[in-house]
Amino acid sequence: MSLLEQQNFLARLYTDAALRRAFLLMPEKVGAENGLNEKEVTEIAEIMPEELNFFAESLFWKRLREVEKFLPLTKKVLAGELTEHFREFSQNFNPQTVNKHFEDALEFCRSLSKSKISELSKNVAKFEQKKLEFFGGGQRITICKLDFDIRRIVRQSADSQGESPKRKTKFAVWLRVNRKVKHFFV
Amino acid sequence: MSEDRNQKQNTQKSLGAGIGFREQFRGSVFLNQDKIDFLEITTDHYLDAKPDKLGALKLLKEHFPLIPHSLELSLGSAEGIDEEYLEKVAEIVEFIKPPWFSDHLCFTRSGGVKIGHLAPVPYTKEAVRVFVKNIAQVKSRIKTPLILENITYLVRFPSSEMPESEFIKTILEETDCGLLLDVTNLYINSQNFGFCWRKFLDEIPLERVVQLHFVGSNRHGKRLIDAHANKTEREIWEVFAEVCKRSEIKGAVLERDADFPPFEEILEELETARGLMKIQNLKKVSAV
Ligand SMILES: [Fe+2]
Repeated sequence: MSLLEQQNFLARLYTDAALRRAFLLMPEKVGAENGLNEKEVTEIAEIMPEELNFFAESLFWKRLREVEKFLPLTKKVLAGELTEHFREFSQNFNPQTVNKHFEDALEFCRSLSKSKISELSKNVAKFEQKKLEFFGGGQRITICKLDFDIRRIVRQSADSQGESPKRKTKFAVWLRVNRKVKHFFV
Repeated sequence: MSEDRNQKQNTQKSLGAGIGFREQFRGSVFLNQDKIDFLEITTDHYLDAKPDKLGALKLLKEHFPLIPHSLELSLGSAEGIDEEYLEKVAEIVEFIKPPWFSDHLCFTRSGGVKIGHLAPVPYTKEAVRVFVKNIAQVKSRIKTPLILENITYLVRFPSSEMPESEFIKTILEETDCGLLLDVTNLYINSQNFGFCWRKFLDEIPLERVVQLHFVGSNRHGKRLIDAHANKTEREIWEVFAEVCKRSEIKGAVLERDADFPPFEEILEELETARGLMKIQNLKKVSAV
């Protein structure tokens, strides 16, 4: 098996959980479906399943940790649910640009608008999405319409025991004036 | 190693002990300029950067010697080098004008899939040829010396034809590159797969070590991992000290990426590293 073919298949095995599960269960069948001959299948199947899974998991966690750095508020409101949603998202998206973690975080926020999470969490994710779009895109102004007054969450003053934000239409605004950024709510 | 390169790297003064620059450190590095000898910057953070980000890089450059460290040259990719990425790295290296720059002995993409992190390659003659070809392409574009970093690996390939040490040695010799020896990665691999790091040091060309990386390891289940989120432990300092005794290193970088401690702890680690590097120098003086 050439190194190129092996790397093509390994890259998919590392990043695609469904393919990995299927290959570990039925290497010959899945290998053949992906164009590998018997010898090639054996070569890859020789990698210990435990090592393969551990490495793939470590890649997932590294990716999640990088995304969390961009989304501190979404991480806070989603708490334990974040991992599960990111796992689902990560199976369908492979960032391609040089700013891969930024791209990943932005796309994850967009995907959360269609996820089964609370309306408040959707609002927080939308807020961080718009913020990333503003800083990443260099627009003069970005306005984000929100259904909740999330100012306390944004100011990091709301702890998990605190009163949850009230439903109220709010607009978060980011503005560039003389190369300085202003951010406020109206 | 060609005589020119050999002379160039041997006459290069040691840069001392530095840190991998992270945005979280920005304020602290400027406040503690006298305690940080140099910074390693992640090239990828400045590719396609907007003018204010490049301005921030320029400011760093005015205050510290900088060493660029890239993540995605994917020197072990059999499909070859991504020329667009190479061009962007080249622009940053040309802007910084460092004594060397670095990337890893790994592959990070194949067939349109980005793996997202550093993945090992099987230690085969074919893989050596791939590295040699890709590195030649990088060298023809970027004239600054490229040094190569050893990675941690969690998967092993039974199809490997040689041990990791021989694989690294062969690539360094065939490409005439220096080594960025990550002592933490070496320690982690030795613990996860039960080999002796001292023996590994015996087997690699230590005269090619240019720079070190160090940070603490993290335990995940029964394995150690390179989360870059811990204080350097005694066992890793032991590897560090041993390399300093046996090699003329030109700089050491603390790579902390998460669970950031108070900055004093970072500075203490640099002081420890500097101490170990000075022992080497003092020994040389007394030997003369
Ligand atoms: Fe490293």
